[in-house]
Amino acid sequence: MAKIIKPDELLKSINYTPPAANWMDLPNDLSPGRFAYPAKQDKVEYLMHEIPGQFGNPRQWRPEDVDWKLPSNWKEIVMNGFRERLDKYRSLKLFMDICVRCGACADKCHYFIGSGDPKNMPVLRAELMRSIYRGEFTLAGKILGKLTGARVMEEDVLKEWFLYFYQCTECRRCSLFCPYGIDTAEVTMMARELLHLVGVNINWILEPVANCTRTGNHLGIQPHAFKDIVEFMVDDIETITGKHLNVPLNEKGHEVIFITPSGDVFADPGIYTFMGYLMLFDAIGLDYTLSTYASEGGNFGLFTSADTMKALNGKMYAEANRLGAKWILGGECGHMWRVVNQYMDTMNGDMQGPQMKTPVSPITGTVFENAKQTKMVHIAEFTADLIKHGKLKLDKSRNSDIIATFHDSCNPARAMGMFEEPRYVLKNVVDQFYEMPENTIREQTFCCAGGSGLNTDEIMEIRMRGGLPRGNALRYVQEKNGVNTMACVCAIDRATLIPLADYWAPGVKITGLHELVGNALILDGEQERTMNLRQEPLPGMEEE
Amino acid sequence: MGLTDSIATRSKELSQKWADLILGTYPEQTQVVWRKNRDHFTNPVGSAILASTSELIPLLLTWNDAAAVARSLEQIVKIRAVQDFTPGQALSFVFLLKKLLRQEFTKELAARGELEELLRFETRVDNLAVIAFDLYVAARDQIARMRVDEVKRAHTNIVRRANLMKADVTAQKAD
Amino acid sequence: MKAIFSLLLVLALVVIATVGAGAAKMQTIFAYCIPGTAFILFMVGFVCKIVSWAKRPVPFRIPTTGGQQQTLSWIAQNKWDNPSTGPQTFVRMVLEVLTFRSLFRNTKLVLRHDDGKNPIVAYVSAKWLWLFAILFHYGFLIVVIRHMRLFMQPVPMPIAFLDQADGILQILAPTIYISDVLLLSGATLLLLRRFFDAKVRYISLVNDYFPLFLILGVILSGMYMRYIAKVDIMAIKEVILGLLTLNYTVPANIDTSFFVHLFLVSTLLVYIPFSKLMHMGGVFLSPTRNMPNDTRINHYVNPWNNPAVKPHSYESYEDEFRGPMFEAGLPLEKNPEEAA
Repeated sequence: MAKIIKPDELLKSINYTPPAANWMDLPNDLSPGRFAYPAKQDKVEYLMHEIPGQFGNPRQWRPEDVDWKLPSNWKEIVMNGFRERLDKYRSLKLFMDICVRCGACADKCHYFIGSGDPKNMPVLRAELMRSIYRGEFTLAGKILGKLTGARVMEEDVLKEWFLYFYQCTECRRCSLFCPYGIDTAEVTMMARELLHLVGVNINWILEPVANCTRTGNHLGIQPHAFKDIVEFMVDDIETITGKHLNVPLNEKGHEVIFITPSGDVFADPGIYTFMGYLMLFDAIGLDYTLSTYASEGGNFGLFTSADTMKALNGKMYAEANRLGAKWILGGECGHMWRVVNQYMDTMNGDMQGPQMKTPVSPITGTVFENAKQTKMVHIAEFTADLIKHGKLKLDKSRNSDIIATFHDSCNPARAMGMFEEPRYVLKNVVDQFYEMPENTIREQTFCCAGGSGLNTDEIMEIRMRGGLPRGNALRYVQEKNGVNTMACVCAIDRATLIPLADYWAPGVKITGLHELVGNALILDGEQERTMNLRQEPLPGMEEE
Repeated sequence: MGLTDSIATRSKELSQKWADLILGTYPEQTQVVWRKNRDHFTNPVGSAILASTSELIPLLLTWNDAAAVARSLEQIVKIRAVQDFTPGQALSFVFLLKKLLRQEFTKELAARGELEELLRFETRVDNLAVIAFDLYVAARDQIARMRVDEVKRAHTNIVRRANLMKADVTAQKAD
Repeated sequence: MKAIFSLLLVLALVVIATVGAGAAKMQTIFAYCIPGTAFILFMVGFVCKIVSWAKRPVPFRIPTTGGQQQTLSWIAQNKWDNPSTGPQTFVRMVLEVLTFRSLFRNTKLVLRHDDGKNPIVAYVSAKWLWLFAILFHYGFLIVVIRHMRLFMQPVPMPIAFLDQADGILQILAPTIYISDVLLLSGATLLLLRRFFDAKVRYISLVNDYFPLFLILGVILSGMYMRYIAKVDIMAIKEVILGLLTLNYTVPANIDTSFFVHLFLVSTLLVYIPFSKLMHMGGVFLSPTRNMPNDTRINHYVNPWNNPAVKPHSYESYEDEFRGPMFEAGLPLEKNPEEAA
């Protein structure tokens, strides 16, 4: 709780100029709102059993307490883990060695831009770890100490890591501007792996990881309930279009298995995007199935550790094999596509069964050569191809009340490079589309400030200040072009951009790309539509 | 020349000085980055502060458009409401204007025996503080509301399913 | 404080060389022993460092993508910023190493107003860092190549030509080298930037100031030799060729400044493998830059991939939820009776 300041203190605070302290000497501020809640003990215990070697020290603890109940040999565990990872990852070793502190990255991080906290400069965030590398593993650092930016591992350093490696969304914006390609995301991943070893963790990541492992979705919804929920959306589609769709679940013998983040099934407004997918599949008569076992496309393992990511990701191929699917179609998700594009085949490619084939669109015959190894296609690629071949009947006028802009999500942008496909789809389903300023989109896009497992409500202030650069650019097109809708291809965005827009650009609505597709799409045999997928009246259909 | 005229002629200079004082509440190395970079998109905080102070000084002089005052204040208040400040620190920026005015005008006005003019003008700054307080609380309320709403949205369909079950139970009872 | 410490270190080196080679007459040591040892340490250290990086595995292909991926045939790929083949990646690396492409991205956006007072978005480049870096690195490169004429007899044509071209301005006598100006201004600007750009000052360490001061020391002592002391270049060449042919004689009449220059260069050589200056080698190995974005197209092998890490199996999933799944009518591998 903020302490009450007396008037004279307030006057002093007005004259206050912060001391020019070395960053290493600044104390950790662990007041509420500065960190996400730690993981529940039973979730950690479950994961220790399911994915051995990644987690440790399950207990009840509070970051605001002085005593974090670390194991007595925590330092040894962390240092051994550090050494091991320096040998396993050239990236880590190289990034520890070659930074010249040129400062090109310093003002590229959304958290630094919004908070002004110097430890949020990417270079300094990495120095939190690099200083330990120098102090513990290099001779010069051991002898010269602080002068060379070296220090030894202490409990306060561990706490500092917890604070600042959970204020990095692994968005890779800094990496784009670094002349050596140093990627803070990589450093953050390593730091988090080390923290997990001694039980320093956050619940918003580990509970979804545990749930996805066990039930296949991040909320831990059991299969029969999952089926009910899908049926709600089928009902809603019937209300809107008058058409009852058949949605196969866990069925064998279909050509395609469709996997999307489970947030699209549970959360508003992702559910409208999910309805959009189902309508699209109906419109083209796709031979597909969903799965309850592999119902989570998102992979919070990416924010946890490499082995955790691998274990969660493996479900996709396992289920494709069991159901006999030839290829996988993936829904709109950010970090899921970093995993699919850069890790999936390397980690689990050997699991692919002989029935899996290079994806071919059954409607247009297009061969997805760029997915011939993973056998997994992004729905924006898939839909763009359908539209290009004129296979969809679209009525843009149903979206005529929408003035749209497009938010590039960090991972499809900087770990994949998917820019034109979603824009092509968007421009074919809405009439009015305006880009945000050039250095806030595409590969230079700003994060929603809730990625990498930081989309939890207890750190709303951190998210809001980190979201300022995105919000500001959005506000700009809102005022200049009257933009009222921001489309995105990411389930975390669909959750986090809503408060971001409410706070920084009130009045802008957030939608998934395929929600807008679903609105515009004309299904065979549908009734005249009067409402959109949110069951709000369509333009021209408002009641008097 | 009266106080308001002096302020009006020095409006630009004063708003810059006020903005400098506000930037002084941030860590030293951050201040310099934010002072130097006038870019609206890559330095939203620095540019919002300067935009706000430059709008507010003329508004204080005309003092007839509460909505415009609130709009300008809101730019800063909303930012400071989500940064690492206590409520007092977050709103101290309004009183920095008082400090600035006293610094700039006390001597001159006292010499002319017109110090009252400053006191009269300062009541407007006090009013500014009150408006800022309202905006600050509104912003904090909004944060709290957004937290709740977000949790609700994340579970939309779960709640729907739970409610459905409840409906089933009541339906059975009715039989 | 960190800067002063670094400056003092470099000055101390200058004093050591001046006293050692000048007053104490230990010219053989400063002309042969130290540079020889330094060169060996540099070679061994450099190779060891590169090997220590190269032998570490790259488990995943993690390029940072800066443009449109390879996708549907009618969407143009940005091949240089998001390469999907080896040759494309090569071009990306060439652009990165030769033109510092990532630094060049450093654009800045400003809000301006047009004549009708409508806001318009304008781009201003923030390319100072890029410019300073280019000046410095290319100046350095030319100077190093130019020095090769001291190591070879006869001087190869390209080096002689470069030497001539570099001195083409023909001002002052001896003629001033363009590369000297580039290098000196580049190094000075990079140093000033560390002093006056607050965010860079805040993150700077002795490891940043020391090499800059050291390199400035090398440049200034070299320029002093050439432009002020006007040392006997042929005598120096004899020393260097003597070093290479293991034929040690110390020719008389070499100005002490030569030994200072040589000693600072020796220090720099030894310092390189143990410091951030290894970025010259590291940049070629950076996994976010030197890999194609192609793991959806080609299989990539992680040498330490652990086959024991498996997903939670469908069997255990069905075992846990078989009852409710059956009731909900979801297809099962084994229905409850079979499982019982």
